[in-house]
Amino acid sequence: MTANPRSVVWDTSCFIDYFNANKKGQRTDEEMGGLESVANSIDRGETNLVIPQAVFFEYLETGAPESQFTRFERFAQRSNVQVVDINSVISLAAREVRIQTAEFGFKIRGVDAVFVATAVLYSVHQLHTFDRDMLRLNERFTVKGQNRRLTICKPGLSSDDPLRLPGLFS
Amino acid sequence: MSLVDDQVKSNRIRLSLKSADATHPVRLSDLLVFLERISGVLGSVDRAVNGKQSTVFNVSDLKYGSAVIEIEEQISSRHRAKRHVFRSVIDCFDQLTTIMPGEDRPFWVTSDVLKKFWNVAEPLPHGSMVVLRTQRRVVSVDDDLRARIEDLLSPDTTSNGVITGTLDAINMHGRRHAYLYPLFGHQRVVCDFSSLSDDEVKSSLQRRVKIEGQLHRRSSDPFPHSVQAKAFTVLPPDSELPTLRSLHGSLEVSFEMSTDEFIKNLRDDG
Repeated sequence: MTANPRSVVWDTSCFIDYFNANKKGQRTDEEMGGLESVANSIDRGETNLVIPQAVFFEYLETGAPESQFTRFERFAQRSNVQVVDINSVISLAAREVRIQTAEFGFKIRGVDAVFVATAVLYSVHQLHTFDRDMLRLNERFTVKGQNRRLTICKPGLSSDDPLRLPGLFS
Repeated sequence: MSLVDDQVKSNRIRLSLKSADATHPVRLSDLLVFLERISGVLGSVDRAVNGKQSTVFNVSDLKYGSAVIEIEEQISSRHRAKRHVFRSVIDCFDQLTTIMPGEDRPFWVTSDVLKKFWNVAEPLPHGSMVVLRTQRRVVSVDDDLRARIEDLLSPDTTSNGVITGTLDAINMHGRRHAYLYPLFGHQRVVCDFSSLSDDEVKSSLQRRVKIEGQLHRRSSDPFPHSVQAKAFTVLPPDSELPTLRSLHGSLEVSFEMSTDEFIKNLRDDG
């Protein structure tokens, strides 16, 4: 298996808020700054982005015009972007995520579990989301084939996370 | 207990067992279990390489103390043409430890042979790790080897789908295939392009492609190890594709609620 040095999964809300540029003003400047820093890192090819297929289904529901959706799909063809279809292994892993989450005393929706399962199986460094239920699962699951827990956090490249890039904030 | 030494000297193989605890001799039960498993491997390999169980194995030396047993493969003149079982056993150990996930096993290695090797890789009742030393290399008979064998034994799951990556190393002879190097998953994916034209495939060498076809993966693995290509598209270079920055501010949403509520409602309904 190839383990990528830096890789993230973005929850659908990250795409919507970034593409919408926070026009509703629901995100703080810090949250939008976090999104921008990760987006810039992805654009430079320094971070790999994993997009579960569910993102596209949910994105369609925003009412985005066809031309905008097509541009999003073309972006997903970039060499450091991977779109992931749901297969039986991911489904089973998502089921396991739901079972374990219940054991932690929390509840998680099925699609949320698919995002977590994808992040675990693709051994990404971080799953970025604004969803409170998912954020509670930070460092609860061990990523596949590696002796570390999955970081689930709001988007951003802080000084103590493995995605920090040299000179990013200098 | 460890299997510390094995030497293929012409037609002989030497197996030495050492107790995990140096202060105690080898347990009789461990020795018996191990001999039974080795006997299973020899019989299975004999059947696989020679078509039937035709080789006689004799105990040519037996030492107490360090529990050394030497087994001799009896080769008679009328069996001269058949394949050497010990050599095949060593070859198989070598290949099992170097085989890439998803790669085909050697043609003669049947499921029965694999199961027998898997048995040998099982921990002994009172022992620890097993190491097999050949003249060429040291083979750790451990969890990793067991996992590799399990991977080879697990059935394939097939589904129609898409995979992207860089195409390289095209083989136009025999089974026409190329290797695809994806961003995630197996380092390389075997791409069978029998149903595509040579020119099409050659022109996409060293380029990023999207392949549509039948994906094969082990049932426990989310990543395909091979694909039977039905169609493929050469992807544009990154310089011709939108960036995230170019999409920033491009979306006007039709919903009134916050993004969090919007997603929550979608997922609750689902």
